[in-house]
Amino acid sequence: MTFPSFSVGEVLRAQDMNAVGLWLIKSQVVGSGVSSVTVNDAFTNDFDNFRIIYSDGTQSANNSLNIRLGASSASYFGGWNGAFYATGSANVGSNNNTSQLLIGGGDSNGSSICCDVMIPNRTKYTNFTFNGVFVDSAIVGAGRHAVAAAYTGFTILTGAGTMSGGTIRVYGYQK
Amino acid sequence: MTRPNIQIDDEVREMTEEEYADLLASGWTPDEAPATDA
Repeated sequence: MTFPSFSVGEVLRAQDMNAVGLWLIKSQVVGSGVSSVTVNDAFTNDFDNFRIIYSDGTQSANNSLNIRLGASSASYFGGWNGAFYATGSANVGSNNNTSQLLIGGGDSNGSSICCDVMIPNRTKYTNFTFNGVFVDSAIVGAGRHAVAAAYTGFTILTGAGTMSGGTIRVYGYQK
Repeated sequence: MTRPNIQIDDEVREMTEEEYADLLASGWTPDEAPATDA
């Protein structure tokens, strides 16, 4: 057999299944009118690197969605670059030793996060890459949590107002 | 003013006063006028 194409009735061999790239670890439905959502037991030791996807939700204000690892509320550094739709002018910003890291955003028409998280479950610094889509602009960026500690969970926080609905899914990248 | 909700896994509840104070200290601001593409 030639993977990744499977045939009906085929035996799923361990070496083939263990090569599947992404594994859904956790799926968390977001409630209504919450300013933060904590997702526990997400960064399992089965994986080194993870992807967080949030979609199908909304925000009461056009603003960011930010992350904290565990209960750690310091030492977040990041930067982003993008453009405002109307003018094409730059949307540039940064987090410099802040209490949370911007990793996405949205507004009342839709909110999203698409963020890769590198080795949050190891006693080393954690790095992030992300993008954000807002009512007036879009950005891409990267960042770091400069604390050499291991975490199994995270919290998504709104920069302003609240978030409602949608699902936060956490995937592990196969090693 | 009513404090916003907080969610921990599947549990959704109103923030405590201490949690709300921490949120405000982080730079969070209450609702503004809803922003739309319209």
